[in-house]
Amino acid sequence: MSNPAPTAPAGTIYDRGYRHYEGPREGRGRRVRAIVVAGVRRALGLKRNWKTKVIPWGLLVLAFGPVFAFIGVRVLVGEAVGEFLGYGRYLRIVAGLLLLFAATAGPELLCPDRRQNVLALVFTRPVTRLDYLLAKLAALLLVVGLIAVVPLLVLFLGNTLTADSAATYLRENLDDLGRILLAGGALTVFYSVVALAAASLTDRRALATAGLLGVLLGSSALANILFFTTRFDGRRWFALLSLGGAPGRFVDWLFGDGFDPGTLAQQAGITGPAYLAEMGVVVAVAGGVLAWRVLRLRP
Amino acid sequence: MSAPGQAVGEGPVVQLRRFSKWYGDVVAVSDLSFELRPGVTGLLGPNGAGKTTTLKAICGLVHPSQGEVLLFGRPIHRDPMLYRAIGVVPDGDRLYPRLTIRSYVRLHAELQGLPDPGAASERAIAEVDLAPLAERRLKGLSKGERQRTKVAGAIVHQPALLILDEPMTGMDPGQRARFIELVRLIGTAGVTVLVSSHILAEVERLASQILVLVGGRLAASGDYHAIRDLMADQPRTVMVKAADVRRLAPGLIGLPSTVAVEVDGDALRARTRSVEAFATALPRLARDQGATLREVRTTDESLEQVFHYLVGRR
Repeated sequence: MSNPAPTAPAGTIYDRGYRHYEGPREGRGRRVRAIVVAGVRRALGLKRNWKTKVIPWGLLVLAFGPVFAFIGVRVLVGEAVGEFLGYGRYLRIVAGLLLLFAATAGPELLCPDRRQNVLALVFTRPVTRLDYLLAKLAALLLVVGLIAVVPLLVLFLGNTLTADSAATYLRENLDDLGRILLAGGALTVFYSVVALAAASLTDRRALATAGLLGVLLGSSALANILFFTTRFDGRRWFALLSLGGAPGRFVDWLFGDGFDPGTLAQQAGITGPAYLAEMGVVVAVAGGVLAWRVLRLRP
Repeated sequence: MSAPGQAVGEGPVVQLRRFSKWYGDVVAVSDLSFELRPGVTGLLGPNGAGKTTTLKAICGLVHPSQGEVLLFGRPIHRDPMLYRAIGVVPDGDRLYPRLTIRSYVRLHAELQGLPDPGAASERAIAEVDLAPLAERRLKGLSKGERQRTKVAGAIVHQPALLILDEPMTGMDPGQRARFIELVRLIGTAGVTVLVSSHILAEVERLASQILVLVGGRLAASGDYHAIRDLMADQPRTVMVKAADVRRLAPGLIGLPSTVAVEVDGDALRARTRSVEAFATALPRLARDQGATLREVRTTDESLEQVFHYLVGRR
């Protein structure tokens, strides 16, 4: 005779009390990614009201609109339309948008954290200041890169697909793809680091934006004044004082587009590598300021 | 969770050893030493006593000018991973106004590296009674709701050490009662909870262990009833209710430890420097005078009385 099966208890009381969590944790990458995602959302105004979307999405429309319009024309007319929207020329135009975009998105990423006193909440989590800095930088690089690189890649793809022979176009213009990535990458890093450095100096977004635009545009004005009002042999180097002009001149040089006649860039005769080096120095100094400010943040 | 390398109950969770902090010429906290173990401890002190500096030091947000602050036996500013075991609710409004409650708490779950941040944030939101409001943006919330959101963000990873700076600010009485219940539950579960509050009645309901800071120094620590017992120079009030209470008054005033006696109807209030001597003498007096005792109790055992005494004696 078998034993009777154990009967299930008539009822169970579950202990729903508070317990320590002792389970697994994800690594540093997950924590940094959380800040990056939050930063990208904030910079683009995602999941926020329409007012916060006006500037980023307006600039995105301005960056992508001409590309899609041009590709549409090429689809209708074919290769006969030529390449009046050249990569270099387009990137020169986009550089202005990039400056505006970075000047608004950079402060949006850094300033409110201090102004709204939320740093104590961030830094009492397993997030180091370096994690925080890298995550904010990555977020801005992503959104600025969205304007600096993606429209040109779309343009390149469109030109390739609407060409009479896509394979031929690709073979003959592969160098342009490298230039797009180099120039887009350089501009992305330049504007992102400089914008975050400006944002790290104040907790007021408007002040950071105005300060950044003032320094970059003001330096260009100063360089022009000094170059055209002085007469001595070394005055050509005043061109390097134009912090805001360096990215555009590097792009012109890289894509083989000549400098506009009569301009400081054309008369100074300084070539692209010098402008790239200038951008490198500016990025290094701005990066130093950014690290100095963020790594010693005290909530 | 217990911090890496230390099980709960193994030793003090928080240790301050001769901790001092000064800002320029201003000394915020001086030579502070204490330990915290599992359970709820109240941190009290008047404005400027050094409470916030002390909490910030425990959270690793300020470095000691002198001495050391150890969490789970280790200095926190050298080991950010200790934050996995800590939940912090800072004072003031420290929130991203445009986030919803759900996305705010989820962000903190992700910052803690929880494998299922969605489930963890839902649980934390439910624990602070905010589930019906989870999709509301933080900027539209009342102060009490914002406080509870911060608490949800602090407990989303079920920490072993919870630090709450003025957590009940802005909560209505019902919310306060539920919050006190939650904190007591958390403390009972073996979590070390340090609560700073200026509302003494709330601390009294939350914690029997207290730390009192006055002028940047530790004025008292431990069970506040025990601290009250140590206040020997402070007479205590004993209320006696009896059928013929007036008959007791002459005998009680004759006791060496009695400071004053006041009769009000069928109640008598005596101020005594020795409750023990009073308690020994009272039954004898009542028997001799034929007075039937109905109620005898001390009336100034409150935390507020202890606090005001400690603050006032500096």
